[in-house]
Amino acid sequence: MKKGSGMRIKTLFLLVAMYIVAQTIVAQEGILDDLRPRFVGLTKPQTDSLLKEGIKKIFSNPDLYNDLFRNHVEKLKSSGDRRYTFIRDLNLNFKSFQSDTLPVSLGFDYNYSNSWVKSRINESSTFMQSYNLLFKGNVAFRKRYNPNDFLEFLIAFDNSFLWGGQVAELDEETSIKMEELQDTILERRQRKDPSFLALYDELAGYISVTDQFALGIKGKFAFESNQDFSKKQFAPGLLITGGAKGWNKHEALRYFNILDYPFALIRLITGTDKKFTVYGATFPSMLFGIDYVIPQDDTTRKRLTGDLDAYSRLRFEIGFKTRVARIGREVLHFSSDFRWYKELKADRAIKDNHLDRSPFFVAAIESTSGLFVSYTTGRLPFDRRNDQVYALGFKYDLSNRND
Amino acid sequence: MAWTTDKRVCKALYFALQGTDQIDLLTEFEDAGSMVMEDLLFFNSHASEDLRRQEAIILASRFDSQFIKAHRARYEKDVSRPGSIAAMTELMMQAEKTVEELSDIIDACYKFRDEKRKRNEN
Repeated sequence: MKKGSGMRIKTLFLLVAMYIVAQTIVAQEGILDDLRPRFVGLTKPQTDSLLKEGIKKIFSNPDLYNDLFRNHVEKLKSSGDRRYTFIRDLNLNFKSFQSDTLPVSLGFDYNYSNSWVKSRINESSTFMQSYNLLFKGNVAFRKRYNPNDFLEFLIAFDNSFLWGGQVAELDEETSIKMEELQDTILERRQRKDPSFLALYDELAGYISVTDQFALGIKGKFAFESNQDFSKKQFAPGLLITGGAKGWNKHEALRYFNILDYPFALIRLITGTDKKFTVYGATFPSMLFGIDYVIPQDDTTRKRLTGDLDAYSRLRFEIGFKTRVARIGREVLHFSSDFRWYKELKADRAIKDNHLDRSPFFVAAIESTSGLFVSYTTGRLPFDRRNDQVYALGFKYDLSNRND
Repeated sequence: MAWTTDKRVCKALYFALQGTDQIDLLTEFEDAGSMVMEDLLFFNSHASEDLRRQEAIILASRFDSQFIKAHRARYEKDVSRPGSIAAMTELMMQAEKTVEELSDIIDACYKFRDEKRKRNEN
């Protein structure tokens, strides 16, 4: 299991790297041949130096690789290749990493997940059970420049309990009236008649819904490593997740969503919302868990403690996403996530080196067209240092949007 | 299936997304179909898979209740409430899946009024 999964991930990285190198070496030679005759009056070393600098800039741009990979996916899709379904579901995103004073490094992140679900449901609550498979991580082509050096492979058994979120039942006549009102709104929108907005208040009167609460209990078995697998460990554990949604506009729950208050103000100031509105849908979600970590290869840990004994680790996470503003056709979202790992009964040497705690925080503002700016601080398990990473970029979709 | 105002399932999903603040009221119907899950408010791409799954399940359960109780849709043959919620959840967990693709899943799980009429006419 350990060797097999590690080998498969290594093989995947190798294939991606080989594909990129094969594509770009040919392209680099072609560009060099085209440009050489244009440098008239310069010595050969000067020409070569300028060319190398130019080529380095072009080929360190992640957009180039995203385009290449997207073309490859499109080719697989059009040829009906069976690998297309897997590659389509494997969300692969090339990007550049920048950490503290280290140079910019090219790399990619990947994320694949799949699940098998069965459920039991009654009138007041829902109980869902699922088996999940996940692998994800960040890979820098120059490993030492990777600020988020953490890969994860996970199998989990998930139990979710839901209460509320029930819409009041409409009779046939009222339901038809509601759908006719929806049709009227769409017709007015198509005619560019601004009166359509006022009809939304009337539409809201048809939908009466209760607030919703969720509790999840998950047993999981995870394999964690850094990108060259020089550090790896198994981490079986138990997770409890909790969430709430203040769907009912007449109930107080949504007003406890204090994280949304500054954004409600921004939405009001920018005219995104016509009045100060705290979203009940953006309540932060929380997770609390305990892992039993079984280190396999961890030279840092072995050097500090003299062994690779298993240990217990607490984990806490809170995630939040909301709308910031609409500017023309662009919608800006703010999303953030805080994670905190704490080793229980850690050795003195681990504590002295501040390896018993791993706080990690990321915040980003992203537009619907793909532009994003993000800030990351702290470290995930395996990182030796606290990194502060700023990123500015453009997200490409390698998906089947046009299917 | 196309994303079109001729289908009740597309319209029901569009208004359900607006009613749950996943998209704002100024998002045009035509634009909504090509939006991806990552563009919706429930999908926090920086959060762990565990938190995202919970958010997707909550929203799918809310949609199910709205389709059945407000639109008076019925489940397709051999489809149940758990199956519908699970199918929606699985698609909603994938960042790059579109709203149009979600409407396809919903169409496969529910029979809306316009579909029932068509079948009766036939």
